Amino acid sequence: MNKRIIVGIADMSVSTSQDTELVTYALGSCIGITVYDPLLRIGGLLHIMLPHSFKSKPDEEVNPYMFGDLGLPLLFDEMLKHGAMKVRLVVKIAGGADRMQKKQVFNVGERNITFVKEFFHNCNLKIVSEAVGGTRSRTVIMDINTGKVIIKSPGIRELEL
Amino acid sequence: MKDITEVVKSIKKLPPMPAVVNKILRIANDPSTSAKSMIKVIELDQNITANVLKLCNSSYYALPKKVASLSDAVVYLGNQTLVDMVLAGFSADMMGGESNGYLMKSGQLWEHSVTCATLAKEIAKAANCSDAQIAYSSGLMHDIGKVIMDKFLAEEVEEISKKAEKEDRAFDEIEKEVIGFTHAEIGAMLTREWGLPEEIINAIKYHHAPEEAPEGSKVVYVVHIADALSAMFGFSSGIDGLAYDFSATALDVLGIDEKQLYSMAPALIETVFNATNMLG
Ligand SMILES: [Fe+2]
Ligand SMILES: [Fe+2]
Repeated sequence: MNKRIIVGIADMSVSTSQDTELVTYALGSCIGITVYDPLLRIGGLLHIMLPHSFKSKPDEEVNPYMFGDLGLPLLFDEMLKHGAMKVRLVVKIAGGADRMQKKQVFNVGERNITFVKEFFHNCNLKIVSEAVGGTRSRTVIMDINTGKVIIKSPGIRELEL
Repeated sequence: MKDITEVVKSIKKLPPMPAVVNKILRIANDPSTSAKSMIKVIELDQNITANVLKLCNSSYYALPKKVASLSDAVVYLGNQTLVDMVLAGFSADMMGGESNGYLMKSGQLWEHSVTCATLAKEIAKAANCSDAQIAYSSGLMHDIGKVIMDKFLAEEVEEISKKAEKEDRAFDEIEKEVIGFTHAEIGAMLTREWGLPEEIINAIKYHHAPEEAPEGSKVVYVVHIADALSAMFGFSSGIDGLAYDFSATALDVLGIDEKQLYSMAPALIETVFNATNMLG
């Protein structure tokens, strides 16, 4: 049995332990981003809630993992710190569900997806596979040994990203 | 289609709402109610008292000292929070189980409900709603109908969920079509049986269609938004996920903008998440 590291809401984890899996539960509009260096077998998982950071009060301390614009660079930093190389990174994303999209309000999922895609486009990294949009919640499980990423949603068969 | 009289039977079979909860709801809004008289009422129910103390000592409230009695709890948390906790403790018993109909793990419906209640209270304050307590109670109870719907749904749930996805229609719409009634309607029937205040019953009944509610109450809009935010940020209530319509007028009715919500909801939800062992 693999050890499980749970990545919470607005949280991140990077691991080099081959007997470990990183898990983040029940992504709704949030996005889970997995990156993996297959050569060194290092994996990272970030769970963001919103694309852009802001402060409600000027002196407020924000959790950087809550936001795409602050969290994604930190995910890279942490991966590189462990020896991963950017050119080798395999990127996968999941989440970004929304309420029914008839009215174009409350579309955090869609805005998250757009932001994350643009971010990786700007740093010349391809997103190799994705499970985004729709209305179902998703749980993401990443195996550090293989880099395999599994998505589970209630009511449908699990799929490999 | 299922027979509604079967639902009525299941409602009658449920244990009645503890007298304590009803009493607390009635006296909570009376400013002349003293902490002492409230404690006296709560103490009548051992189960609820135990749950309240567990909640007090959970990481959610991060109190500096262990709370050993209800009077300690009032000192630290105040009357209003104590009322919240009585309701949360009661609903943990009601909603703590797993669900085969909506495919929820045990505790999932309760977590969704507590998240929704916590957000509803803050949204009510932000929208200058007179009654944040009613918003909290309504948020906590909004999906209570799922507890009953569960067994009526179990066989058809895949069909409903597939249909909703394929036809791009809301889950409750298909519930109505296939089963004959929705979890919101059943929730309203159940809480009417329990004798809850009309405003809470309406908030439950119309939480997926606030425009259809009798005019005057903003609470139904508050709960509608809080429910959506809970599911968006990771506390969904099962297979239905986010497959519901969002009211285009909800934000206007309350006079709050989306940005305002995003500046408060994520932090609140993070707090709730970190306390998922609230009753563990
Ligand atoms: Fe609902
Ligand atoms: Fe709900």
